[in-house]
Amino acid sequence: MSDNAISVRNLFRYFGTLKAVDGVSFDVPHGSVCGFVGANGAGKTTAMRILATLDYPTMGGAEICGINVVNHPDKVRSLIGWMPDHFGNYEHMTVLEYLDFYARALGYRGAERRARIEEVMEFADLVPLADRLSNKLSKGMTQRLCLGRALIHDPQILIMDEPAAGLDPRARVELKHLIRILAEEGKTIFISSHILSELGEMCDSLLFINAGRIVHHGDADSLKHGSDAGGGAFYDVKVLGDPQAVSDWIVLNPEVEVAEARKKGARIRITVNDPEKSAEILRRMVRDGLPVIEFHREERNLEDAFIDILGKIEEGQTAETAASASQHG
Amino acid sequence: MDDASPALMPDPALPPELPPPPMERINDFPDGISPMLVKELRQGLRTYTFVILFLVLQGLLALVLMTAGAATSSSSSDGAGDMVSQIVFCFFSLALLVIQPLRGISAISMEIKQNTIDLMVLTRLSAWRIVWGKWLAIVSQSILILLAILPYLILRYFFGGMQLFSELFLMLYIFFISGALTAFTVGLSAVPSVIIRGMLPILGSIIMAGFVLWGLTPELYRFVAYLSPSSHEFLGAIGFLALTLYMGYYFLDMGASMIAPAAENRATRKRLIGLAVLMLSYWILQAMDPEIALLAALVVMGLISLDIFTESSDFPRIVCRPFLRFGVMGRLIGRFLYPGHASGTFFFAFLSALLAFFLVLQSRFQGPDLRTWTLFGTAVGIMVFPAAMIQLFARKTRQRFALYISLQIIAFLLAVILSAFFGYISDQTLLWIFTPVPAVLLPVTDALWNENNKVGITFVSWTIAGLYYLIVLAGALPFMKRIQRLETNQLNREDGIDDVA
Repeated sequence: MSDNAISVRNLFRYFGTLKAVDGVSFDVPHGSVCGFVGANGAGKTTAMRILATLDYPTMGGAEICGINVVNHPDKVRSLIGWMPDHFGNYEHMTVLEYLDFYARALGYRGAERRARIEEVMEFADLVPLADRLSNKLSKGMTQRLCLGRALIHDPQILIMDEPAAGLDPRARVELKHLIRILAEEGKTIFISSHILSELGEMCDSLLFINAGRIVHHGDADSLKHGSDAGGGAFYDVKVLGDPQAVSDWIVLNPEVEVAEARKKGARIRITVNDPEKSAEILRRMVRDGLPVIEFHREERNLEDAFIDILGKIEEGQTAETAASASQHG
Repeated sequence: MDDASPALMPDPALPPELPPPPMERINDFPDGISPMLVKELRQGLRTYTFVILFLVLQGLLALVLMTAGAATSSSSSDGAGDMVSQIVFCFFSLALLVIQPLRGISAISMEIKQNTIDLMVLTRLSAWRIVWGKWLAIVSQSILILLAILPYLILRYFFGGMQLFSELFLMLYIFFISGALTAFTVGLSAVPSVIIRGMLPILGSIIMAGFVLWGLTPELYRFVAYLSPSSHEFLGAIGFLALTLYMGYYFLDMGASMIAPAAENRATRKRLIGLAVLMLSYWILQAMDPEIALLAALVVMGLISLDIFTESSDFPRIVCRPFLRFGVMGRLIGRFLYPGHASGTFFFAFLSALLAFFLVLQSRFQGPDLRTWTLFGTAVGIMVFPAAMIQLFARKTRQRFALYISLQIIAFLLAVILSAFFGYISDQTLLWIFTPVPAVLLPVTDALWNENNKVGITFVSWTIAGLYYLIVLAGALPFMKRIQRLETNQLNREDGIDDVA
């Protein structure tokens, strides 16, 4: 079996002149939860649809557990569960009949069919809804039903496109709880969402996509603790007595800047991006006699991290444009 | 909150364990029945359309029979018996030829709109099984109606003067036509254009309702006579039925092609089946009547051309794999049988050449018939005309099918309007102005065919057809480069990931 549950290499998908996916490459290891983040129209859904064998690449390719999604769609389909961003339910059909239809369509027969339905109904807490018409469910119930449907064939990999969109806070918590259980069971989950804070809690890694290109792939912690757009990190420093002491000390230390003076100290920015050097600066702060009672590194939220990454890209593009203009000029 | 989850939010007020799900309720259909049919029947039998139709039909027929029974006790029974037959057939035909097919109007479009088609495609259900299941569910309900009507027809037997087997055969015939019409609406419901998938079935149902009310019902016994095995028209009726069944298959497969993943090549099989039907229908019917044989072959060719000129030429390289196994020969065959309008252009040329060959063979035995060649040339022009217009004015459209159909309808409307005004046109040479629209050549040929004009008309029909074909061919050639690239990619990286070119 392949080392990665999902492997994407140089994936391109064009719709006429629109480059929906523009040379994307990434891997998602088995048993991990990977968040796929991007603005509307960034190419998330297109890439996910290709992985789910519902679309095909213009160039490049993708593999699920080492199986090519274009060449062997049937094999891939038995390995994945797909939750689309929006879907309608059938009229005149109960929740139980809905799951029964998909169980039959997936080839389950007799006792096995009933057992699979029973299992997913219990997992997704659909038992009390068994006789409810599937098109009369709330959004939260519908998403649980969709998750139940996606799990009927016990897939190794779940591909979920914006599963929490439009859910109220309670339904969101419930869905997150179910996803966590699935992750603990060892399923690989590839999930897209706009709500970055939720993804940060759930995901082992995050993929940021912008204008069809992957702009970042890393774990959520590194993003939270990573450097800002200027390459530095922020610390909140509290001192005993006069807070001006912090600013006075900073004047003598060029690697540190005051970002904001505060009542009991200051919010400072250490401009170097080396943990060893940062630790040395903080040690020096104490050694120089500053009456420090507390300092802690500020965690960026993921939205800020995302904006920072986009900012860096825009800067890079501007620099490239300027360089190219000067060359041509 | 109504969607609270007791399992996730423990509440002491709730019982410790939930009752098991009522699994016995999903044992209503055995495992052997197609999942799609189970789903459609569960939904369909609960819809008001079917329940109301079924009950109203039963009520009306019971009423008719009782009224007729009362009438015969006081007077002659022959007239009452015929009237009962006519009323039974009228209601039955309206139900099966008008209402039931219309139920397929949103069969697939609703699944596409609600995004549920993707969920189905990801199961083991192929696109064909999805469409087939949709069709079969409606036809199963038509069978219920047929079975519910039969007792009334048997009771009518006691009124006397009934041709039992012919009337039963007509009933079965109507049922088969209903199946084909249902296939037409179900298949068409996958077309992206709302106007086409809505307008055509509604227009068709109006025409069909008119036929039932003013054609079939008053002339019932003429149709019954056609279907008597001893009649001259019997073989023609059977031939028409066979063609209708092919049309049923054609429309179902058209629907399946529209929802199938691009990697699932349905075009090749469809073209080969079309080719087989064309050859068979021509060779079987030409023994009876060469003109009918040519007409049948042209109808089949018209259906094939609708498909091949409107398919998207965008497909993944995996489609090339089965062809590449046969080396150069496979690649050559692929130029005719790969999906898309580009290869369709070559396949169309092959079909035209094949039919021309049949006509040449036939001419050897029966002498050349310029009128037949004119009809053939005009038909080729009619088929290729919308494709040429799309190539000239809307080559990037994503609505090829809708445009093709719309252009064809407009062309035929023009032909009908012109033929209606023929009597009022003093200088009939004016008609030549409209001949670039090949459908117009049909009434022009009728109006102007004589010893002086016949060569000219034949020349014009083939020149126009050839010109339009060249335009379509010019549009197809650039796609051949793309096909070549796909083949190279497939040969170089059989099962791996493509490199970026």
